[in-house]
Amino acid sequence: MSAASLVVHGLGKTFRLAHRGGIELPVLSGFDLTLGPGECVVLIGPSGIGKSTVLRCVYGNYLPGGGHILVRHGGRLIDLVGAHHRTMMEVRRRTLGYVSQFLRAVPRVPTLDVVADPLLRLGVAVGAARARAAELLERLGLPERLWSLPPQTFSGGEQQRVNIARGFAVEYPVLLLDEPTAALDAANRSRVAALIDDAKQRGAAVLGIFHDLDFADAVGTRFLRMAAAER
Amino acid sequence: MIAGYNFAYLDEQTKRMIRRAILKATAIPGYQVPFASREMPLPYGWGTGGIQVTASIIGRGDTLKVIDQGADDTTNAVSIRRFFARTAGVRTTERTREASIIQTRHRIPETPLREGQIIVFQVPIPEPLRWLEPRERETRRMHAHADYGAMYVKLYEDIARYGRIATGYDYPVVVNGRYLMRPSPIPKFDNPKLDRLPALALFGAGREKRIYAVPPHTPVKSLDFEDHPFRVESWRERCALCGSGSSFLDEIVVDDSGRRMFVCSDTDYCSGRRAKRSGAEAA
Amino acid sequence: MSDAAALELAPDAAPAVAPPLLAARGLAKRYGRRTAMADVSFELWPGEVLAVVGESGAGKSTLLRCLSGQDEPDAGEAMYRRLDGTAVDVLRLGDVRRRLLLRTDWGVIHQNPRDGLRFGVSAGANVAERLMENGARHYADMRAEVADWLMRLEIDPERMDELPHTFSGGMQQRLQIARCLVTRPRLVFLDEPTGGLDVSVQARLLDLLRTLVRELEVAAILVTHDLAVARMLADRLAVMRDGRVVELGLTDQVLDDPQHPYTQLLVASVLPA
Repeated sequence: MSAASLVVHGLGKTFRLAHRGGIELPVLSGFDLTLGPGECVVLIGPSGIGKSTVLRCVYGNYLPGGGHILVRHGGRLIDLVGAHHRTMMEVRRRTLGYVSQFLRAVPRVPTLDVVADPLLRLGVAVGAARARAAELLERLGLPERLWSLPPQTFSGGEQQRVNIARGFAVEYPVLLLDEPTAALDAANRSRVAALIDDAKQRGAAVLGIFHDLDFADAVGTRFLRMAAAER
Repeated sequence: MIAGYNFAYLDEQTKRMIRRAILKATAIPGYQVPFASREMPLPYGWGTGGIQVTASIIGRGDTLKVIDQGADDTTNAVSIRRFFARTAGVRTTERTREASIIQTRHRIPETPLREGQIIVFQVPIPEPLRWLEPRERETRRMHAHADYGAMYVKLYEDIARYGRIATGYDYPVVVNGRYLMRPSPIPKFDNPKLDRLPALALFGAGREKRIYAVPPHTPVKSLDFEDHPFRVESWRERCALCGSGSSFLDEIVVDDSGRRMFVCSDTDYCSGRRAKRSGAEAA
Repeated sequence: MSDAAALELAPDAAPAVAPPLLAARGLAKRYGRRTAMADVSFELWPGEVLAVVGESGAGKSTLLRCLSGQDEPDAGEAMYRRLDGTAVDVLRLGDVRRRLLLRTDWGVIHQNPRDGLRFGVSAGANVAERLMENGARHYADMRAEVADWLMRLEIDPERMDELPHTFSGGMQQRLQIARCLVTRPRLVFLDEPTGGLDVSVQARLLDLLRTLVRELEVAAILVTHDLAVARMLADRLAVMRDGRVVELGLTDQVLDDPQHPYTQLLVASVLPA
């Protein structure tokens, strides 16, 4: 395990709601996790236990309240807690992929470009980026006639596949997947499972939340049950 | 010379003030120097700026020529010439060669000016940037920074609209590689004469209270684009009176049926050529 | 904690971060007794979009005006790294050099196209003027470049000789952007660029801006009161209130996990998209 891709140690997170009488909601405390290349760790536990919060803290979407989040980025192990935003942006560009349940995209942008966007951010040429986007959309079974349309008008399942394609466009060393298959039918779920297996094969470390236990069994290499934070 | 007035009408204090402005203008070619323009016994637009400049530099030994659109015999030219004859008692002439000071509206004589001569221009609007920027504070700042890119917008628009730079009069120039200047409403035909002119050129704007100058032998460049270089107008016709094919021609309607002829706008140049020709024929 | 985990807990040193393009420190401005801006500090890197959000009167526009040379702050500094690597305090640069910077390295896109365009001259001349300000003197070359930029901003080059008032609001705004970007600035100030536009026109403009900002690697400071606009365009978000920056962070972090009570209120008041 000396080459861990992601090490979370002593992670804490408490939300303070200033306008609800300043109440504090402790969600995480002392959370630990180690994730190696080719692994897919599945977070389990009742809803509200903080599974998504872990993923969001790792991605920097939520500000960690304490502890360390070490990510292997370009051969170095970097602590993201308190990291400079330039480092965070660079880690997101090259190392950390994140697929949430919902697609967030600029209106009026064609689906193909929504998917190609993370590649363009890396400086990949437009043609190559679109080719890769097309390949992923095809693998995920999204009809080609939809590629030139903006995804805002798509069904929930279609949008989710666009979101997954976008999250897998760059071959990130670490992938964070938050219920990416919630709105998908069995056929499409297996397509996503194949994508995740491929990612593991190439050495990606995957941290996922999957409400569908069959799916979790299919892709997960290890399960991590979360306990309620100490109050 | 009429009694009761100072030499050349203006009082000596005013002349000194204007001379200081002229000296400054000459020291900073193309830069507009503000001056306290006086009320003159004729309305603005009749050359009050030019007259004040002429009054401040003229001496008893000078010979004055005044032209309006190139002609010595128009009302405006005649009355200004008479004004100085009466208030300064100086000699006047219609001959470009004989004049030491030439006050002009809208032309530079065809006969090349020489060192030692002074040409005084009457200027209605001195500010070349006024058409695009109405605020004086802003135009002064643009001059200070040599921020003249906007001036080219006008040339650009001309080419976009007419396929060529259509400005024919008061064509903007850059003096000594620094200040953008309006040469007063002379035809652009006359612009090349300003470049490295051996005479001193002084510009007076009475209503706008500005004086500027182009000292002798100063480079004066007309604005243009690399692929649309500055060009002067030319005529297929020749002067109907003297036959000149290289002077600036006026088109004149000669009868009620609309017949036209082209003649030199510079009356002295034209009559000089005619005199020479008749002399040659007589000989 | 296992030994293995303990072994992993020795992170490498934090990666070196390149120096910022612009570093503002302690900016302050008062109008009479009213504090318009106090102790504003932030840094901006090449290619980065920083959105400044807050309600009207929070000091957003004062900040933009002071940085872009349209107004003078009472205190503070703004160090700008020039192309040659040297840094200058743009607030003490002097009029001449600041103007030079504004027409070469910087660009300003105003909320109202009337503030950023000349309505008396053609669309093409509006774009060409920036080129001519920077010394371009070849008409045909300029026409070609202007046509190219109009196309990039989805304006039919056939219309380049028309006056801007014949254009729709969205087109005028795109024309303003073409005029600004034609000289390839390194830093652009955007003041509510989608302010007066319909929602669908806004979205198209935002996408164009986003693409261009990325292609040209231009840094931008975007003033807006619209959090959705900020989310789509900005890498980072500064929240202003009563002239101060109360929170500054990655856009999604500030919007999804706001720390300051005011930011929490601001985010909570937005209807979900």
